[in-house]
Amino acid sequence: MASESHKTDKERFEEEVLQFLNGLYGYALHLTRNPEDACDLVQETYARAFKAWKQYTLGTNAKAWLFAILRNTFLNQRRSTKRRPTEVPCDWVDELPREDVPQLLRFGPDPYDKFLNDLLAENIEEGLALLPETFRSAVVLCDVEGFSYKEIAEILDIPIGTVRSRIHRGRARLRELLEKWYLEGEGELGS
Amino acid sequence: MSCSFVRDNLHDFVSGELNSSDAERIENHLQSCESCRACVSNMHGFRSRVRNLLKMTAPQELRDSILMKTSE
Ligand SMILES: [Zn+2]
Repeated sequence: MASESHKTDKERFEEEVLQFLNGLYGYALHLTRNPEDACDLVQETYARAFKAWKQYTLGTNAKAWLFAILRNTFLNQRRSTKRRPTEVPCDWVDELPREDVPQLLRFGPDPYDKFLNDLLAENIEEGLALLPETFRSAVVLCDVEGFSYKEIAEILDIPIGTVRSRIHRGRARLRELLEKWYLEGEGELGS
Repeated sequence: MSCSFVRDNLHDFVSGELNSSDAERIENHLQSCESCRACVSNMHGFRSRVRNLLKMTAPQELRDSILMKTSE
């Protein structure tokens, strides 16, 4: 077996960064909303990461580093292709109640469990797509990828207080939308 | 310690971002307050449902082509 020092750059790269492929692909899907574009974005991310790998110092947070490259690549592509989708309106931001007590809570825990069970991945994707990009990113990075607020602040390049408020409001809005669809469908969520 | 403290810090609490003394205060309150307990448990449930549903697996072709590119 080769010792650490005999490992090639390629071997180290594969070991340390390829483990995040599934997470990066999932995040790319939420940004692009299209599997083909998501694959392109992840490819480009790894190509950039591999190029920068020699400057990369061990001990840096490799996962956060990769997610930041992916998001920056996405923003640059969107800027250059001018394929910028119309940003979703966010007038709901100021309308959210300060206390986050969801509507469904008044039904008690059992109906809430039923609501959660009935949720489909498509419902959540649809709800997330209605959030502005920084809100969507903050929620996905925190709730799906398990990043800390501090890591998210670095990835999104915004202050930690802004991360906190994006997560609060993003989650609350997502929940509000899903519960609304659920109640409108009288307990059914279509895809 | 009041219900409003729990509601105000609900998101940071379920994210695991509260300092340990505030988190402990909330945990103590939850022992005796059914409505805050339901609130926290629903938020935990929502968060883990989102996480489970959105966990993706990258296509094998994507993995292969990244490995190929780094070998060039
Ligand atoms: Zn209470």
